Amino acid sequence: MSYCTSPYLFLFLPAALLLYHIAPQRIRPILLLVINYCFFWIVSGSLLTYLLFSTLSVYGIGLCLSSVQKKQELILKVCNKEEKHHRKMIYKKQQRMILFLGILLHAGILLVLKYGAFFCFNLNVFLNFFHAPIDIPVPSFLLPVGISFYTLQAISYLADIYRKKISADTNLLRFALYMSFFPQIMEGPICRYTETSSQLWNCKRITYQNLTFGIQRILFGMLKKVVIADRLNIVIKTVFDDYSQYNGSIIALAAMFYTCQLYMEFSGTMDVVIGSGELFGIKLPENFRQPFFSKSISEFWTRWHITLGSWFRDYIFYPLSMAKFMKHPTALIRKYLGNNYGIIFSASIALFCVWFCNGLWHGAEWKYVFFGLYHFVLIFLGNLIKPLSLRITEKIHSPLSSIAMTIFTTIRTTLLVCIGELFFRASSLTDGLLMFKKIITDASFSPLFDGSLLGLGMDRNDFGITAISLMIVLSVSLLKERHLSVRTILADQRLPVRWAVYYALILYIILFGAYGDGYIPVDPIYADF
Amino acid sequence: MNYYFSLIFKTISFLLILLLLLSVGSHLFHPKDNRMESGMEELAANGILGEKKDSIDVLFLGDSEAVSSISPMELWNKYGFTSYVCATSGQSLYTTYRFLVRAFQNQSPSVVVLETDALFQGISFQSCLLSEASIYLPIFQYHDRWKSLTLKDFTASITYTWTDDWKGYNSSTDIKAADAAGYMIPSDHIQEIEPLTALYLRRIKKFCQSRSVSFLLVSTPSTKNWNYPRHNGVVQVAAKENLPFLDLNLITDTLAIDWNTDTRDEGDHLNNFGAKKVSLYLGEYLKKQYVLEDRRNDSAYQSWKLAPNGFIAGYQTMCVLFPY
Repeated sequence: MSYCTSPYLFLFLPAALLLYHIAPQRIRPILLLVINYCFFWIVSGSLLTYLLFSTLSVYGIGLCLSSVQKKQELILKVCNKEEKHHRKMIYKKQQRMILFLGILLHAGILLVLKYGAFFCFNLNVFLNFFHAPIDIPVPSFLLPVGISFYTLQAISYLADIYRKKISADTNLLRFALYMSFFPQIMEGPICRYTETSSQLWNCKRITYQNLTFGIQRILFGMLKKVVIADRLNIVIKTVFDDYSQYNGSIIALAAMFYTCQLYMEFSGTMDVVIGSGELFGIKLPENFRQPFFSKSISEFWTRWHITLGSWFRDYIFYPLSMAKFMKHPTALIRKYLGNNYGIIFSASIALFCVWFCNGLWHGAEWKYVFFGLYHFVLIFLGNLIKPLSLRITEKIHSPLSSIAMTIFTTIRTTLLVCIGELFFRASSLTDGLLMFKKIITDASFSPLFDGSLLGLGMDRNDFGITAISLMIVLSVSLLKERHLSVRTILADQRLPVRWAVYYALILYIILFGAYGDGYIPVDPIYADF
Repeated sequence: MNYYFSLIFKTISFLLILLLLLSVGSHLFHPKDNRMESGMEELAANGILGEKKDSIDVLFLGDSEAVSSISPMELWNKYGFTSYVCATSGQSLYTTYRFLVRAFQNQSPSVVVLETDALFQGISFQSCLLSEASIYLPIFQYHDRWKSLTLKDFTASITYTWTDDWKGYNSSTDIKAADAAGYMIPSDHIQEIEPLTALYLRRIKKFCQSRSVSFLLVSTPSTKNWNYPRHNGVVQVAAKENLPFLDLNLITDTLAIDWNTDTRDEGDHLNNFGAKKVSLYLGEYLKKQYVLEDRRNDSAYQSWKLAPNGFIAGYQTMCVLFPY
């Protein structure tokens, strides 16, 4: 049961809302937790035990960390100056050890379940290469849905306690709610403890505004997912499944379509997720901020899957770039090559780790590792030439050139993203490389205009309705980019106008959605990660 | 209190208007005839909609196994009762149920036969919900017709005029021999029927019971789609639901099925030669078990006497090649 399906939207969500609404305030948190676990059980069955184990263990480890911190505070109060430093180091070490064990346990579960088979398979390949007479059995595990998401939430919770940003929650129920809120457990957003825990615990009553705003958001998400993403899937599947039959320009177009599909699918699902949260009065963090208006790859990743990017920034990039072992080499480079290169060096080492992890987080396959490292190279090169590009921009500064530059950099960034997504969607890294080779060596624009496009599963009407739907999404994005809220504008209208818009949106989705006979149901892409 | 009253009133009003819009849309998008040019899907199976009212005695449901194994014209020629194969390729039971409901809008057969391969087709809750919604609001099924709407769709009423000469049967004289080496080896293993499929089977049973219609489960021969675990699975569910089950895969020798000549695609589906054998056996069985009138001399069934040219030609060829 994924979020954009009728069982979720027309059965589970309304039933959950109704139960939540009629329940007395004091039992709502318990009820919400039961609903969360019911959802997880429907999706993952007995693998719910993994979530329960993670919740209990992180809760316990958090309390341990907190008790050491409290002990430290008490002891340090009565210590003299000489002893203070020594004691501080001891407690710091204890906390670090607890944090390390906590992260090791949860990252370890994720690593074994998600990457165990990948690791063993590649180890076997490596051993075979050296003719070693060992064949390690490749394990196969059932992966609980959303493990990549809730594990990151668990780690951020522990790290934040360690950094004293938050104190450990003593209320198991509140913490369990944070770990399991059903609209976000499958595909994120990856929430921080401070963002949702108190909202979930307070269990506000459902209001008319929350209902209408939530439903609006869900409808808009369904438009992106069902009308655009699922329709584009027809062409994408046709081309990617049998790319050798197609010319480079068709493959390039399919890569662009896939980039569009991925955005519409993921951001559409996020709209449904955030909308579901809004129905309950829970404000979940945004995961997208008009990413295709970005002028560089670095900027793109501050607008695309924002919560994952910020997680990597806060829990991998910053700790690594500021680690003690980085200080010495950074200082040396600063001394010999200048300040700028020193910063670039330390940032690049951390960036490499971030993008390696980011790639691998998406899946246990080399193509995902390549995807991550591709973005690392682009960002690294972007950082290297940044001073030069800034100088050029300053020199040719004029209103016209500024607009041209914006258009150029936006298109360039989008094209670079499309290349990355080609590898992301390809069946394997080898297929990705072969497809990219075809784009370079076998590019002729004639198939785009000689009617070949219409042989890929989408007819003129399909292309037309996709274009119109994209224009609708683009218009809303443009308004958002200018900090105008369509929903607020709509809320200011009279009831007949508001209802007319809702009916139009509902009928648009029902009529132009790519569902039912003749369409292959499309599974949510990000739920697999 | 006023706040809640207003909220409930608004919600109900909103939903009623939406329902009205969907109903109007359903009429608009529903094909106005059961022809391809009118936007009808699954033409052969929907040909039943164009049949004369209450003219069908036996309704066959199922997937491609039913379509390729049961020939209503063969049954008519030999036994004189009318039947129709309301089946489509890869049909899950929720679609079967939809066809059943639709067929009964114009027909009142005395026997409904379900080919059991459909019990093992994949089924999803999402598709079931959509199918259920389509029964009441066809816009969910025909929404893609926005591409081909004409002015007629806005003005005309629904009138079905087309009937299938083969009565839903898919004729084929192709021969691709099957390897029947591992076919129907006895086993105690049971292939369970999915709960959702079992639920729809119960619904079909209840639907038939409520109209005093006999309901029979039949499995037609297929080396690729049928095996003993499946047989056991259906035996189990048939016993539980108290339904008669006839597995023709167990008596292929009695039927004289020759896997070298009677299949069109290596045992996946039967061809005309295999279908003839199955139809004749099944006709005999139905005639014995149920009260089915011989209508061959009934002038009201004149159209059935005008057998399709293709059928006559195919039939004659078969008689020459395989004079059983």
